[in-house]
Amino acid sequence: MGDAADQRTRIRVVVHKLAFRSGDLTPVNHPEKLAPIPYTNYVPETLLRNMGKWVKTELITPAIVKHVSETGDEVYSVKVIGPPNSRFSADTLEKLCDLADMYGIGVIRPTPQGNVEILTDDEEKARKLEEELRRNGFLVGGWGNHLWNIQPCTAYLTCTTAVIDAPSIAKALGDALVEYVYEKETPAHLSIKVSGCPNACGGAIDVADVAVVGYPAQTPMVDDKWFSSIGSPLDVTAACPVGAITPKRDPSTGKAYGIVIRPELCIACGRCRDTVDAIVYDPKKTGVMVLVGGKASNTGPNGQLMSRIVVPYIPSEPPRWPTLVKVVKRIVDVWVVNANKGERIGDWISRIGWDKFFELTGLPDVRKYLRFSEKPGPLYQPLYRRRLTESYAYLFREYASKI
Amino acid sequence: MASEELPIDPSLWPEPPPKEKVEEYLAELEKGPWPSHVTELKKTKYPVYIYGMGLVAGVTPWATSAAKAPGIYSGVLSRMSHPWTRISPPIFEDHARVLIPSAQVFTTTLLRFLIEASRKYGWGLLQFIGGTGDVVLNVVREKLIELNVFLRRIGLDIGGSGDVMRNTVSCPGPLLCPYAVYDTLKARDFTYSCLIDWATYPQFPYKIKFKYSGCPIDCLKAQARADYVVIGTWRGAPDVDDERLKQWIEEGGDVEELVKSCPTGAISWGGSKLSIDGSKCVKCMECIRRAYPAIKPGKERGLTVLVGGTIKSRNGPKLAKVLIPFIPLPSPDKLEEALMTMFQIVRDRIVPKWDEEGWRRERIGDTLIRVTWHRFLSDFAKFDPDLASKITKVKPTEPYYTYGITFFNMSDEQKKKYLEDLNKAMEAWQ
Repeated sequence: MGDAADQRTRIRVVVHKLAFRSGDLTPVNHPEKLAPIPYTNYVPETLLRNMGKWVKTELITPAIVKHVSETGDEVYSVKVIGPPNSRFSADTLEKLCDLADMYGIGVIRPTPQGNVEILTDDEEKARKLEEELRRNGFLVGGWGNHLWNIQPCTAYLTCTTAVIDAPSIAKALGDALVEYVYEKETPAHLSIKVSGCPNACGGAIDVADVAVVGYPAQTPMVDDKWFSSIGSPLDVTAACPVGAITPKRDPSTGKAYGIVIRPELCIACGRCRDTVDAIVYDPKKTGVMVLVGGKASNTGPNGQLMSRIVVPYIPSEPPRWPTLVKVVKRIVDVWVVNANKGERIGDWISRIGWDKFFELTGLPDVRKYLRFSEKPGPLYQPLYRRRLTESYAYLFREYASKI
Repeated sequence: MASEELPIDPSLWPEPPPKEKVEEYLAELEKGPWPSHVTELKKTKYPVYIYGMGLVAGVTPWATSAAKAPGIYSGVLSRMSHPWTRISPPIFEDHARVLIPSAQVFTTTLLRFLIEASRKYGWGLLQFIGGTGDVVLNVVREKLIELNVFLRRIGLDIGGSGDVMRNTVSCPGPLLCPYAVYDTLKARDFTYSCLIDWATYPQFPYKIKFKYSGCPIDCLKAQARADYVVIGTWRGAPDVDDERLKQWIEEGGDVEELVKSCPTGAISWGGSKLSIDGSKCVKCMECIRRAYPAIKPGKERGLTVLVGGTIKSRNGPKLAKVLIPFIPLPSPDKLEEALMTMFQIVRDRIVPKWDEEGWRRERIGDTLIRVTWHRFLSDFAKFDPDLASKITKVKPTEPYYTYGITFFNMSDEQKKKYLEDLNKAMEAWQ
């Protein structure tokens, strides 16, 4: 690690705590990644002084949180809700930078949920900043018992595997639920995740209060022409968790050139689409499902909870998704009216039970249509079938590796 | 462009949609009070029309491509417009994942440099930040190397894609939050200084992720998303400060409510003294959140290491399992030693074995299910076989557990029936 030590000596701290590196940094000459600079080199003095000394967090308005330190220092973070998929243009970010310099301590902190927090050290300034942000057309709010944000994956913006478009769903849901960001209070923290396919890059679908997941809802078709030029049959065969895919072989040479997908085993998990582009879904059949009630926090009487599917299929209706928006709004509204204070959706459902949940929301009881298992395994429903397909997958895998 | 020139089978893919329809859909997404991504994209050089084509057709308009970037082994992703869009010559969309400072603290000076980079070498568009925890910067293909040099100059780097150790994320921890048990920012920096080789060269069956959460609230959702999760915890009961508790009660704190809020009934109030039964405490943070700083995380602090949480994987979404229940952390400056205990197991035992036995595109959580938990403990983590059997036999008392979400293929009749019922239900909501 002599290199790392050498690199550290090259780091120079300048007035604004920006650590410049010097020397030859061309990747060909120095392919090894450069480790992030230790945080003490860039965190501003106000925060560094109070590291680990915070004693209180307090909600001033739904957009401002106050952190009080043992030393008496106060830091306020003002939360701005970003556009879906946190796609900021350089111009917009520059505007935020200007505001952070004018009213704040010059720190902007993006959060994994797609929000931006601007830090400041004075309540007066924080309130002015909130006003100014609103005047500039930003949506502020979302601290405490409010809708924190709707976090979609990139989907059609750059993704090659997305089944449906997620940012447009986030936009449509946001327009319907925007009152919960500032004006109306919810019983507890609410975060919504939207993912374009079961890979769920939009956030953990299994631990989200409400998750919307793009769902192929069909056995995919294979574009043989394209597959023969870009696909690797054995890779795709190995990717299938239920062994529904077999290689298609040229009878004369025995060489695999394509794949066959057996519809009776396929569970529409999208793993093959993830491996190769030459797999097609019929856009008329694709849809979304809605999961509800997960959380990763070890809080409340239940600790972590895994979400459950409550709506197995709604056909895709871009760009405004009217049915989906109605369903999600209904679930959130019913929860807001019926839950006790401090109860997240998962805790609320654990208390009242799933029968009551379906009764209150008026949604058709999904358990009538599908049977679920709660054990880990290849994404399957009845246990006997899952065991069968697990062995299939194993056999195919072993077979494929021997060729 | 004639259809026979296409590399795809045109009968399976949609036709390019009419221009008016695309513009109508895009305009639809600019309405309403919620911030609009289309409005943002129109301020940049992003080809928003292609996005609109995808929206109308219901199929993604991007296909995989590859950019030539000598010396950059991870962190650059390339797309080209999908053959079905019939855009000729194809439009390329390349983006770089930028490793950002721990806890995503950007000074405006640094951010202004990043904005300058995006204008100079890219499309003036940033994803600030994505689910992986790094900023995604759209870049013009020819300027990729220049961008990397620029980013290195200002103290950042490109990285975190492919079969490498992905970007390590930490919660803000002690920087802004009162509950953090250990210094998550330092832990993240330390991971990079130990495992920089893993972050550079793709060498594994699939990706590796480390995530650091400061307390059991786990705001990062680390246990659902990372292969190796470190969560701050403590042994026994939370620490009660009688002086401060008195002050808290004087300020209007409701002790009865506090006692009632404990899910396991571990708290008892004797009229003047609050006592918490450590053996009953499940670390739900409820009392701490209500009465901080009168009640704090316990004095005997440490780290819990979990393994195998994934969403995108062979066996579907799953939560992580406890690998090491407790690594003692006697004082904050012993953090590096405590983390080293974990790295020794992960770096020297689990990952080499996974490298050997793991199937392609199989994360550790799936390998763990395939080889069973017992074999994982004895063969991968190389625990003493007796200890491994002991661990698997004992019903876990830790608050972490795992099971999966199911996927299924609904038949057309099932779908039709379900939608009929749903529509009927929706009529009643009015």
